[in-house]
Amino acid sequence: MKTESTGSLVVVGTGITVSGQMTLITESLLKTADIVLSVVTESALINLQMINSNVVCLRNLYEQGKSRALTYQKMTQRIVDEVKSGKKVVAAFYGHPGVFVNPSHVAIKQLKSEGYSAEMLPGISAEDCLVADLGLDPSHYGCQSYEATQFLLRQYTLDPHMMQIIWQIGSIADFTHNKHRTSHPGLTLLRDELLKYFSPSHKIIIYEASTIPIAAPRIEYLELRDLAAVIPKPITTMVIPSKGLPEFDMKTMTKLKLTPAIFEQQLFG
Amino acid sequence: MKDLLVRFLITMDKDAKLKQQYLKDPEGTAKAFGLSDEDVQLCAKNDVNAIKGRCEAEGADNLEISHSK
Repeated sequence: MKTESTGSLVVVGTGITVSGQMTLITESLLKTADIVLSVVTESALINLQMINSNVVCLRNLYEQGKSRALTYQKMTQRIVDEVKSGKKVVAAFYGHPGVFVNPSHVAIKQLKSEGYSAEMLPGISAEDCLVADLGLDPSHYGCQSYEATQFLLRQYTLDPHMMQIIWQIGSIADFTHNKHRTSHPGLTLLRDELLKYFSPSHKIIIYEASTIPIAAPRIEYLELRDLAAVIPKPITTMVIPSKGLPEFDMKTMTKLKLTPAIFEQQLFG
Repeated sequence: MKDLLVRFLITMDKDAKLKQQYLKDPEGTAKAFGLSDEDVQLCAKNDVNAIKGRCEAEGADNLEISHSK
C-alpha cells in the first residue's frame, strides 16, 4: 500500500434523482476531495459543483458512434492519472457506481494492483428505486436480472417462478447509442422469447424511475402480448412478476426432516 | 449557478418540507424561491417534460450496454 501522501480513489454514486439519493458518507467525501471526476447527469453535476469547487465532467468523452470501450478506457486513464499525481480523487457516477458502469471497476482494480488505496461505496441504483416503487421484494420469489440485448443474444435459462428484470429494453441491439430511436423491433423478439415461458396474458410492468422530485415514476401495467406496442426510452426497464413459487423439493425437505406443513408452520406460525 | 430552476429541484430533492409546500402550491413555492416568471409558469402548469429537459435528469447516455465476455 502506498503512503498517505500518495493519491487515493473513492468511487461513489449520486443516485438516480438530482441530489436527494446521495448518501451522507458520499457527500462528506465529495466535500474533502482534491478533485471530483464525474460521469453524471447535468443536474447532478450542478449538485456536485455546489459541494466541491473542483469538479471535472468526463461526459465529453462520450461521442455518438464512437466505441464505448475506447471511452471507458479514457475515463479509466483519467481517474488513474489523477490518483498517480498524488490527489485524493473521488469519482462520481450516476446511480450506483458499480452497476452498468465499467471505468469504476477497472480503475479500482488497476490502482489496487499498483498498491494505491482504492474503494467503491454503494449508491442508490435504479433497481433500488424499482423495488420501492413497485413494492416487489426480489427475495420473495427470487429474481433474475439481465441487460436486454445480452438476454436475447445469449442462451440464458429463464426461471418463470422468479421475478424477471430486463434492463434497457429501449436499446436492444443498438450499438450506436441513439437516444432518439423511433423504431424498436427488438421488443417483438423479446416478446416472442418470453412467450416461451409466460402466457400472452401474463402481466408485465414497464418501469422508469423518477429522476426529479416533482415527477412520478413511469409505471405501466400491461399484458405480455402487448409488449411490442410499448414506446421505450433507453432507460426503460421491464419487470415480469413471478408465476408463483415452484413445488417443494421433497428430497431436500426429507434430508432436513421437514414436511411442507412443518416448513410453513415454522415460517408463518 | 447556471440555472435556478435546477437549483430549485436540487434543493427540493433534499428537503421534504419544501417538496410538500411545492405539491400544495407549485406556483407560490416556485415564486418564493425566486424563479423567473417563465419558470414559475412551467411549475404552475406542471410541465414535467420541460422541467426534466432543463435538468437533463435522465442519465440514459451514461448507461452501459455491456457485451464484454
